[in-house]
Amino acid sequence: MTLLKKVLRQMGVNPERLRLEWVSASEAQLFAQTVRDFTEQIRKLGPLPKGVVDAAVAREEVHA
Amino acid sequence: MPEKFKFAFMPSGSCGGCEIAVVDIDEVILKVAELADIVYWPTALDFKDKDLEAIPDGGITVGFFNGAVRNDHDVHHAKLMRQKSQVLVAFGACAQMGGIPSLGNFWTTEDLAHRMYDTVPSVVNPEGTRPQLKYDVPEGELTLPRAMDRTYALDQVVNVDYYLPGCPPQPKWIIAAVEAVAKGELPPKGTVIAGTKAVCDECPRERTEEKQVTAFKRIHLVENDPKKCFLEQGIMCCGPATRDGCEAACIVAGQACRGCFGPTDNVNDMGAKLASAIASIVVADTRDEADRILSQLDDPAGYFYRFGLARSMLGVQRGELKGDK
Repeated sequence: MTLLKKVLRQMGVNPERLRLEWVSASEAQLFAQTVRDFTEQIRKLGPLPKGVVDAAVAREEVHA
Repeated sequence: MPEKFKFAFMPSGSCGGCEIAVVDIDEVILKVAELADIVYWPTALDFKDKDLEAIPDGGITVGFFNGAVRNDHDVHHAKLMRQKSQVLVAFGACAQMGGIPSLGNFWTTEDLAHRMYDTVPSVVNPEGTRPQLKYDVPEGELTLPRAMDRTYALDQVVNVDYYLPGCPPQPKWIIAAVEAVAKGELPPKGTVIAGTKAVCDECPRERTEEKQVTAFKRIHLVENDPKKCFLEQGIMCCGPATRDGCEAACIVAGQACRGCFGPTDNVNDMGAKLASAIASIVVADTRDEADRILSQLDDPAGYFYRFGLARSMLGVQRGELKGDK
């Protein structure tokens, strides 16, 4: 996770978008709370700006 | 004798190494000359854009395109080569994945220009002079190509039929590709003409199956055991995610794999695969210990995507973390 967060930061992605938690099957409440918190956190960060994820995005610039 | 094939070699945003790789096939180049007419090769002979434009569409049997697509002139070349070539080959790591030039995608073109023309220690430019795209001289107007905001791999701009990986491509695979054309036995479109396994499978160094790394070291700062796996000695090596076919040339010469052949067929994203491979060999009892070991890797993204940042699945996001690199 440390490495992945470092790579994400270098790639310009907020490392807060990544989270790893271990929750046992018997801890339903903790599981639900973790998902709620993380969803809220991501919602606050909003969608990622457009990157070159696929060829279509690239073509936009190249053929502009 | 049937009509000769027609080959063309187009250099684009590249260092010229791929062009040297063409002549690196030694005397086989004479056989290539018997087999095919080279109708366009500006590095070797005085060809201009208009010579390529004059070739009828599809008039080139196989077009070899090397270099990344960095500026609008490269885009023009890429489109022309696609239009004129029956088969278009991305020749070398830059055309295949963006190569070293695409490491520039970590920054905007404006950042790069600022560095290049203002802040490099050897530059003295008090007036902030920048190259102009157009400049009038008594003889007429001079123009320069416009650098785009990013560097692209060839197949992000036009359709590509085959890939010859490597920095530069290895003679044996260039010969294999030419032979395939000569015999009319071309593999399915989209094939990467090289090995199908990982560099580790070709690597002569000894490895145990239990890699346990407690510290990462930079290769020039330590004496490494030339018989032992680089990773097991804590030296970053891209072997596990990189396509084979180079006969582990760098490793045989004493340098860890840098990943120039790109990912193997079953690796989607080179960086993701390497991050997982590297993280899994670290041995630590606590999270702090793991953090300490992994923080010894100074520039993981740069190392994992050294030859392929343009093709990384994530792309480099701009705007989310301003000025935070």
